[in-house]
Amino acid sequence: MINPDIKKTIEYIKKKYGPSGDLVTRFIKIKKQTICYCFLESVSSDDKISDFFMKYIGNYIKRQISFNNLYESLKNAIPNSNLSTVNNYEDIFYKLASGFTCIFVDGTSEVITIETRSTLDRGVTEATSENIVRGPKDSFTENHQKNLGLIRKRIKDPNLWFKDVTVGRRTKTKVSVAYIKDVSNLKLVDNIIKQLKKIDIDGILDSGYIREFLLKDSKSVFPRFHSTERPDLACMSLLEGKIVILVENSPFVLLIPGLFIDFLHSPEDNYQKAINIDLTRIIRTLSFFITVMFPGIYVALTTFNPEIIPDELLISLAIQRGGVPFPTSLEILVMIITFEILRESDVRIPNASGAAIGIVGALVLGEAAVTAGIVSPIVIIVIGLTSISGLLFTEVDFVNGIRWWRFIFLIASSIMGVVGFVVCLIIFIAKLCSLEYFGISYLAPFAPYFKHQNAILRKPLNKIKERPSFLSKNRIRMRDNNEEN
Amino acid sequence: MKKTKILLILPFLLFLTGCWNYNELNTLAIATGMAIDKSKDGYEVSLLIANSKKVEESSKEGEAQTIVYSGRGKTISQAMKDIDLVSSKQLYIGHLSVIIVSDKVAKEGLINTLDFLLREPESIKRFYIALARNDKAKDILKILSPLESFPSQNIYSNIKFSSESHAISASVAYGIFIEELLAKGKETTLPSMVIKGNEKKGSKSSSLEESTPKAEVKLNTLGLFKKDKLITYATANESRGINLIKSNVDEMILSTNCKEGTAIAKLNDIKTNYEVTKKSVNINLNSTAYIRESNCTNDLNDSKEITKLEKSFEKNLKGLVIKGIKVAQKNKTDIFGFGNELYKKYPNYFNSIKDIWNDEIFPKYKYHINANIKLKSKGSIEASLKGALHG
Repeated sequence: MINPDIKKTIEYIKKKYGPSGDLVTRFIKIKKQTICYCFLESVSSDDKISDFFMKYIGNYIKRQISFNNLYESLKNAIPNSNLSTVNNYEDIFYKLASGFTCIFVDGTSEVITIETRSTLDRGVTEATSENIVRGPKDSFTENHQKNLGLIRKRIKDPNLWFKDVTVGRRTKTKVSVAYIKDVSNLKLVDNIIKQLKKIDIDGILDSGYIREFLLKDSKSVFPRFHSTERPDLACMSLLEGKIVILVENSPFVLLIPGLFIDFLHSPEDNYQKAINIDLTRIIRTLSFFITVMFPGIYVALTTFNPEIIPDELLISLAIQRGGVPFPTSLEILVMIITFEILRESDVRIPNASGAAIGIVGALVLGEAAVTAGIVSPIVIIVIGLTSISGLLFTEVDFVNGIRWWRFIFLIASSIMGVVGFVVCLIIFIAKLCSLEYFGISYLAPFAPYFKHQNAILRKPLNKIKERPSFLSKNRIRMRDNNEEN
Repeated sequence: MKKTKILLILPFLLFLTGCWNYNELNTLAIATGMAIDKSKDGYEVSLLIANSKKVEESSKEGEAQTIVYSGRGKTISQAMKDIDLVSSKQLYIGHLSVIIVSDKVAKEGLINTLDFLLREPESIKRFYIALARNDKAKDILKILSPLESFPSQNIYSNIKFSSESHAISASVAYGIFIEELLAKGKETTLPSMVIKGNEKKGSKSSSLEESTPKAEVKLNTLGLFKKDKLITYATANESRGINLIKSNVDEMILSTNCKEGTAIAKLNDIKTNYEVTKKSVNINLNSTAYIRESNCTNDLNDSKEITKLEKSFEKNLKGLVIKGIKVAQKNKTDIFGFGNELYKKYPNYFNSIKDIWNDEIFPKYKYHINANIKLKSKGSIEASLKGALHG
């Protein structure tokens, strides 16, 4: 435990931090007693320490305050809202790294810690990865307290609980599991916390780390947890009965369970008129099928079953393909890979040179490839439509999952034509159906079927009276006002 | 490790697709039209290839824009193999839209030409079949139209749309033709086509540069068949009558004489139904009509005059139908399928007379015709201009 002799204690702490220059320690003599404070200046705010601690200590030095026991007096009187005492080194190191200032009093084995954190984040800014036109614009940040606050200020019910687990031997990252006590499935919460506690890893740097630990079978390419940087979506999910996991230093929170249907939704859906959103949702669903299957269908039809294509279209396709030296499937594959390279480079490239990508992508690879006779113009259209449809989905993991299946459909179609395509479709659906998380099927509410008023078509919000039954047992979402009147 | 191996193999599968039914589009010669002519020892089959390079690039002056390959052989498939020797691409007849048979072949009997197209799994059986009257069927395939990109499309839409509104011709899909051919107590008819103008000049693209094309393909009257043999062609009015009975008419123009001129009516929703008995057939024709043109002085506001006009139109309609029946009876071929109706109604009776039905019973078969036309509208003006001028 902590040695009451503070000189030895400080020596020990200094030795622990080695050559790191950001550890600041200072001894102060008050009457005959010595106290010492130390903090890490990289994570602490000098102003706060001067204002709230040094100024106050000055009063002791000037003997304006009388006391019997210095330790007790300091503990009671230091003007800091977040003051606590610790009595072991592990906690001291954690507090120091969190931006606390530790105050050691000679002869006591307990240490007073006060909060003097400096703000090392960019503040609440607009969401960058999930754009919406109409609705709240704020987004989660890297600051854990702010993230919790963004949720707490939206849901003021004390039944909104946060359970903290510290994960990571070295990073000691705080992971909070948020849920509404009387809405969420508490067994699922317990299960998640149990699994979080089991994680024994040196460091957790983003919520993406957690995701892989919570899933035992991660063979499927489709993401099983929805992640978002939008607090409004997180709260929407909490109210539905889902569980939200917030990880310190990560602006992306996990929504559990993430179902297939969630990836076709946008939080904005609830802010617009239901009847208009229905059309948007249908287009989104359609584009999911387009982006997964269109290259496959194109290859299957043109190379195996041209009978289905209308006369004039077929003739024009055949004329366009004249002189292209590669098989259709290779043509498509080349263009898909080209697009993926473009997309990846567009993400990685610094903003300044972003325009170059557009020029190279559109002109050189599209126009020139056709003129040179390497690919036929229709293939550009096929890939264009496929890729643009894929961009409708905000979750990167989901888009990447789609990419796998696009390849699988393409391969199946180019080997067996329409037969291969249909076989692949059956496998695809069977694969999706077989996924489940804690008893909740991935394809719910379609398979198994549940009555859900907000799956693809959305009822007006005043008609959705119940929560989906597969998410919550406490189903009453809206009470009938008519009964009271 | 096993997974990586599979992943490595998958891309290779993409390129090893030389199997089952695989064809790249540019290795196909897409035939959209087919013509069957007589040759010395069998048939001459011609195919109109739609995806030639010439279609893509605008052809030079005086050069034909489309490609028609011909091959000869004892049978259709042998002739097709003959074309294969010429064509560098694989012949593909899945998108055949018309097939034109010269009437010389039809007079000898079509049966030897029909099996191939029905048996070929690649071909869809919805394409139209028509006769080439007077001309070689191959020449009809060559005539370019300024309105469509390929001759076959021109013929196809010509058959499809004008037969619905003119009543002279009819659109006969291959499947239906075969069905009628095989049906008991039913004979079949086919539309015919002629070339109007100079076919040599009409097949050149320079023909399209003038405001009046050098040659046009025109739909002609119906050819009457007995079994698979073409017997004769009906006249225009006889064709109208035949089509009326066969319910092939959606709308038609009918004229009648009236005071000091002619009135024209357009008939819509013509409904034909008939009932057969052992001795006779009752044919009912119901239709609504509107006056399209009136060059008479009759007072069209008078309902009695309208009834008179209706009667007059009905008489003319009846006349057309009688002409249609008469030509069939004269040629001893039951193209309407009265025998088939009789067979459905009295199977045993029909079986006992089926051998003599066409030759002895049908020519003397009695018919009663009721026509009922309702004039519903007079168009944008009420009275006729002539009436207003003289009245």
